[in-house]
Amino acid sequence: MPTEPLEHPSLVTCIVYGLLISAVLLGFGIAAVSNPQRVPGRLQNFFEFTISGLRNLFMGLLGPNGAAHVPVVTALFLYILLANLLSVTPGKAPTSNLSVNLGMSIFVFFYVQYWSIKTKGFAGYLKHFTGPGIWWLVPLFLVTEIVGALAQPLSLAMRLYGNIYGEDYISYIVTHVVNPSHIPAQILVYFLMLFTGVLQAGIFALLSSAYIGLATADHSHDGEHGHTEDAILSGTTASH
Amino acid sequence: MAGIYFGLLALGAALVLPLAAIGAGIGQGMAAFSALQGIARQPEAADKIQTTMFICLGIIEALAIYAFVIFFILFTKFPTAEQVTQLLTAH
Repeated sequence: MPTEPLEHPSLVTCIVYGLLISAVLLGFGIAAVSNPQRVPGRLQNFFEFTISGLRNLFMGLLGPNGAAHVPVVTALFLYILLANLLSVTPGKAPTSNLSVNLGMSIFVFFYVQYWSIKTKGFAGYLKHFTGPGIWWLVPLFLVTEIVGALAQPLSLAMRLYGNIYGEDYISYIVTHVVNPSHIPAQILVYFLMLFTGVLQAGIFALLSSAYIGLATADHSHDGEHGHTEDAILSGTTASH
Repeated sequence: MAGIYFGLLALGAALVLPLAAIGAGIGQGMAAFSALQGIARQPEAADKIQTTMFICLGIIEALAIYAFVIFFILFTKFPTAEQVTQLLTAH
């Protein structure tokens, strides 16, 4: 067993890698759309396929009028995906630092609140915290809703951090337990890292889109709302 | 006293993840069970069920991940080798 705990990547490393990922994404994105063809080339084809697939995935949770939020969620997904996959390379994944994840999830939090106010109006936004309108349940709902809203960014960030840092830790321990000159034992861990990296990027983006879809849902019908898990379960069925 | 403190610390660090894993494992198993059943009965709804299942698994998994993060917090408080030898020689 290694005696020293695994260090988190420093903030400077995270910022440099983050800028690098942004540059790569921006570069490929601009290259793909700068000269659009009727019969798409290889790069344009790849991007169109990826983006339309992701769009279909997120639109199911964002609801019928959620097309405006697709770019935000897709950008989050692609950024986190590339950041997670950096842990397979000699570099370090920026998402194994909690501050990076908190930055992204706090952005999602304010984005959700902003669009919640914009769709429901400020009065409707405040009313949403008081529950279904039974007066003696209002204090209970007030506490539950506010704690629930504040727990969203924390759980988003903690989930991503725990998964990515945990995997880095497993590969760190494996490299110390097995003599690395005999067999590259961490190759087996790398498959797990690839799988979880993609899955966690997807879960972060899907949960963000579920939160946004909840906040911007049309409340003219009397549906169940306010409870994240309930609404996520009904989110896919409510989309049609 | 220090011996009891470090003993309880080791016990807590050893138990936090298994206990969380038992609960999360049962929860994820039930979610996957229902999703598989749903897909088997209605294969055309597989896409929607899969997306929802992954989100549910993510929410359940978060509980185990919290325990994992707590494990790391406890792990940094473990005594070093010098502290352990000091404790042993003191008795």
